[in-house]
Amino acid sequence: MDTKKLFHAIVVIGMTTAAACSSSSPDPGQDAAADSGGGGNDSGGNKDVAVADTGGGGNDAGGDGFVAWLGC
Amino acid sequence: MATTPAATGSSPGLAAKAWWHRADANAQSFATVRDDVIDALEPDARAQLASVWQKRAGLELQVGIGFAAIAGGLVEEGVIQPVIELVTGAVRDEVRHAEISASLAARYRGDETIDWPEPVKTMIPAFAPSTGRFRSTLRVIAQCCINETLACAVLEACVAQGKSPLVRAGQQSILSDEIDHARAGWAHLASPFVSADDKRALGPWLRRLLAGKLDALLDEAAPLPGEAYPDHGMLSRETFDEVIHSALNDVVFPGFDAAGIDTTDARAWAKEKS
Repeated sequence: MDTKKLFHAIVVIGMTTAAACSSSSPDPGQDAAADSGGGGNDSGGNKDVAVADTGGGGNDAGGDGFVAWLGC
Repeated sequence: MATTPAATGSSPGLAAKAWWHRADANAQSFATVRDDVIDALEPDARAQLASVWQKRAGLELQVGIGFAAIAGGLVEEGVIQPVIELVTGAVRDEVRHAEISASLAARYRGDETIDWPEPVKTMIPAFAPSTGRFRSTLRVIAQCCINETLACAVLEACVAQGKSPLVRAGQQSILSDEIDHARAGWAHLASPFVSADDKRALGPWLRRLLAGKLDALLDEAAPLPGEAYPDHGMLSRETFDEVIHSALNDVVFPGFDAAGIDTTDARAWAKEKS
């Protein structure tokens, strides 16, 4: 296994992705202005957006690991 | 529920080409892909490897649910566009991985239809007492920077030793997605949504995140399921341990170092496990 290649392919490129995004992000003000005439996003309606309470406390019953396949 | 591999493996819009085209670019369907390595196995061995792949199909769906939970937390707490694109894409990718795994299980069984995984409760770690944005980051680290990064190393080793064309094709296809899933974690750590204070606080958490997934795996000495069949992409326990430690020391820990997260205690944990 060539771990140097793996490090570059995963870590370096991943971090570069974030850097590129930060340097080319559009002006948030422009986005807001462009969207000002829009029709909203149903926030006052009856859509249940809190699907599965994903930001909440979790349900791991004390465990600290996500389910993952690691060759076993 | 049974369905045909061809029906789910080549759905228009999901992928330009079905994964099994990596084994035979001219094949018209999954069933027509030739694999003499699988076909040469005795029935008992085929049943054993079918069981391994069927179990994996269920695990892949659960991994997808993990990504769904992570995506929800990131949307609520803050995330850059490329990361949420990768994380939400991972939900669908993992469903595709389940289809690949179930298809390979069917091939080992000699069935024309796949068995879709049974419903199962999926646990999402709470990482108490963390809350809010910090917990969201912990979940990204656990799933992407640790699990998916290590999975890339494991899959690379599986592909390197495997000789079955279909198994190699499936593992290569999964690996290509796992690289993106791992990148999402490192991209998030480098984003403005993980502060310098967060990074200082993350160092002491690494041991817990590593142990939560890896203690049971690295403490176990029994042979891995299917390890008697290296030509079928199955790693031995010894090789598995080597790959994990190598990936931790050469990829994961240097990644955390690059992100500005203290790995002193994490490296000590890894040394205890070697």
